[in-house]
Amino acid sequence: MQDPSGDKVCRAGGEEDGEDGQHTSRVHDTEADPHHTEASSHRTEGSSHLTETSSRPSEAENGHDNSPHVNRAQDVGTQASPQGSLNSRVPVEARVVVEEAAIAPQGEQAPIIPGPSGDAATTAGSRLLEFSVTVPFRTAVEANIACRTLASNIQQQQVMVQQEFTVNDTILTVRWTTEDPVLFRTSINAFLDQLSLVVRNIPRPVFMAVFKQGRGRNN
Amino acid sequence: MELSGEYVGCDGEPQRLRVSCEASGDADPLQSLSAGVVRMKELVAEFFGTLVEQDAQGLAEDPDDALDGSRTSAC
Repeated sequence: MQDPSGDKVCRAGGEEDGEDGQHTSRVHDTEADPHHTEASSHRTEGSSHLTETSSRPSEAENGHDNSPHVNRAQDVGTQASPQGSLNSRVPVEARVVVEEAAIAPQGEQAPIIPGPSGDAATTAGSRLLEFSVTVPFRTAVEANIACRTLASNIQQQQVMVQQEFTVNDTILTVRWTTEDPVLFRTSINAFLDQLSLVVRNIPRPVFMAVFKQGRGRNN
Repeated sequence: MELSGEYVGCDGEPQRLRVSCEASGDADPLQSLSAGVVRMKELVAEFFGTLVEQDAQGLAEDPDDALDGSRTSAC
């Protein structure tokens, strides 16, 4: 395989140059170079083109000894370029990884945000305000009547404020719980208005008792 | 007889409103209680009027931070 290509080169050299001595020496050099070019072509196809193009200027410019050194240097350069590209890629990947790592903490920070708002909600719960009114009646019956009447009326009107009615013997206690002082005022005023009406209506049973006693005396 | 009211804010300190409902002479105890209720209503209006004003002032002082303002005024 190698011999035919060598013969072609010799012929071309012989035809171009006129001196016989120079023809002989050049023929030997060109025979050696194809071996190098073929070896480099076997290794990497891309670099073979570079070596072939570079070998020709070296033959024209310098003597016989410089050409192989130049080829080797070029081979080293071509071999370094892939490594350089790999080296350049690794930092890029590293940067991408760093960016991904940087993004992760930001993503992790998002779930932390509801925490303070949850604490705020807990804090809001501790701001409940309480108001209680204690009303003394003459008898337990009057206290219970007032309690039933007031509870049935006010529960229909007020939904925003929590109310609790308690009767202990002759004492009626009403307790309000809310976060808004304005609702306090509205609810308690409504209660006191109703309480005033209930108290005014209680004397009627006493009046009926007196009337019955009066009828007994007449008979 | 005594008609009483008690307010407990977020600071936990109780504030009391008291109205005496003692019947004088032959007066009906329920009439005294009715009068006491009217008086208590006046005290409640005055008390919560002041409280609401403080709440409003707290909101006005910190318009950007309404929540903190309401907390401060409530206390």
